[in-house]
Amino acid sequence: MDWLNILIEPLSYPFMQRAIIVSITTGFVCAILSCFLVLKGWSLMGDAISHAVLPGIVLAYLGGIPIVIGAFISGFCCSLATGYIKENCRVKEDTVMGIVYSGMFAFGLVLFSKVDTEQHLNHILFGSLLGTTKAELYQIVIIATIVSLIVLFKRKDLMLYCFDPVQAKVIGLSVRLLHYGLLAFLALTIVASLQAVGVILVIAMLIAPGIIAFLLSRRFERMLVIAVVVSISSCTFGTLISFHYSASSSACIVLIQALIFIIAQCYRLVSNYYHTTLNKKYVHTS
Amino acid sequence: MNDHVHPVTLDVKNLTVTYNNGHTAIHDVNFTLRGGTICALVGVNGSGKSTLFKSIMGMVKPSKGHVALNDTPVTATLKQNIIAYVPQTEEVDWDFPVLVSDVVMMGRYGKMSFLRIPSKEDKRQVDIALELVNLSALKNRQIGELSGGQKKRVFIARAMAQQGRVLLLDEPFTGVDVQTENAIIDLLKTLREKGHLILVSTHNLGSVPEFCDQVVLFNRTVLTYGPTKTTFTPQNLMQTFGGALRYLSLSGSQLHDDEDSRIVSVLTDDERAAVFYGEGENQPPHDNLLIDELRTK
Repeated sequence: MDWLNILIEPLSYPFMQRAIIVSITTGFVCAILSCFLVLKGWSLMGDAISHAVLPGIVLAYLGGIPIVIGAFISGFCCSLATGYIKENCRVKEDTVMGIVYSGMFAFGLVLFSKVDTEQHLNHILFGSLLGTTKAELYQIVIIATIVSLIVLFKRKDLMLYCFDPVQAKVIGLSVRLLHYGLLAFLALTIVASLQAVGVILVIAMLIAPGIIAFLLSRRFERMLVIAVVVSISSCTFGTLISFHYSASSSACIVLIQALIFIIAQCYRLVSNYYHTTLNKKYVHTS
Repeated sequence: MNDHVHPVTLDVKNLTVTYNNGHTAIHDVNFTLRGGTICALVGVNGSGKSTLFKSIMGMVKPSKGHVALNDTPVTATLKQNIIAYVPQTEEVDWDFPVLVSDVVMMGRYGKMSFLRIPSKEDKRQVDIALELVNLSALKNRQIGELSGGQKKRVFIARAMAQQGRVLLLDEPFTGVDVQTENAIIDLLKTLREKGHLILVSTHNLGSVPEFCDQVVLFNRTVLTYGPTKTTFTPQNLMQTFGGALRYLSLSGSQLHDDEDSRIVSVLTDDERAAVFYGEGENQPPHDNLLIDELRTK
């Protein structure tokens, strides 16, 4: 009964209850987005948006508007600027993105040292899951629910857009709307996840569940389910572990996801090996 | 609407596409096609064939001119699902977690409601399309688990399931075995009889006269277009491809011992060659190009 206590005991603290709820909700919404991100090849875009929110956070504080809105606008602007520059010059997208987001991040850092906000830089960079307040909890749950619902309802259109944008266009869908819609949902997801994992590690939450599920599935619906299960369980256990070992919770979550990825990759290699040897045998006998 | 009463028309007028980086991919493209035709779009790599396709599908905005489908700008007709598209094999992410039947179902999305829940009719059409290209047995395979010819057929099935009356195929014969190639050609021929408008971009010069009744020769603009018989000539091909064609010419006496003294010309870029017969002795079909060759030498 000892290990059960390890799971139950933390939940008697209100701050841990909040932490668990937040990590599960962000885990859920990140898992769904991660499937699209992995398939669309937008991993760097996720990283870019998450770094680019920093100036928005500081400016929002200065302007007295909610931090979430500032962060969202700032992150979304990064992807718009990248798209615009790419269309109008000969440089490749990832190169443009690299300079845009690091530039914005640097601007944010400079602003941060000049402006006296009540935010801690460490909390923005690495999250502070265990220090979530009630107001933040509501905010995260509302954003995550809205994004998850819309993306899940529109998953087939978004999936078609990732798979074959030309077909999406030809059957009369608005490719532009799908593109910017997905970018906006990505930015919202990142903003919602900052509390839990912070700027630096949010990209792991947005890639790991998707890539693990990708390795283990042949159909998109199954991929979504696996990603959600992997993400929620790693978030829950990561949070519990961080409580017991008083380690950084975001690091614990990401570490678990990285471990699951390695296991999934090994499984894939072994099963591929079996498949090819079995096929060879089949060819020889037939 | 009956196909035979209103044959579909595709009208490309003064079409110029300049990308934002200043590159003009195609300029002043003009041609008109009516339903009940298979038209080959022939040109070298990088001649703007893909850009032309993209503008016909409304993917790129023309900087000048327009593309009209049944006298309506093409972007306004997309919702009617008239155009079906078969992409190049290289453009598809074959690791994507979708099954063969999932891909074919994508052809039906435009006919489904907001949430894209397939109806019985959608499922029936998917089965029919799979049957048509002989892939029913493989419908639960992930698309990466297919051979080259099967991969191509999946997307042809998707176009069939969509039931569009305009069909665009981008290099449908690259990496495809002869059997599949013949099956695709037969399928296209039956669609032509039903009044479909089919535009095929191809490198496969040899098969063009076999199934295409019209040809558009293309290099950044339409060099010439018209019925295959009068347009698909060695002279025109040489002009289209410049020096990029391999060609070989043989006189009758070199080939065989009979009375047939016609000279044979073989033109090819990288796939099946086009073979032309001359009129009589000493009269090669590529008359003027031979002179050009000699001149350059």
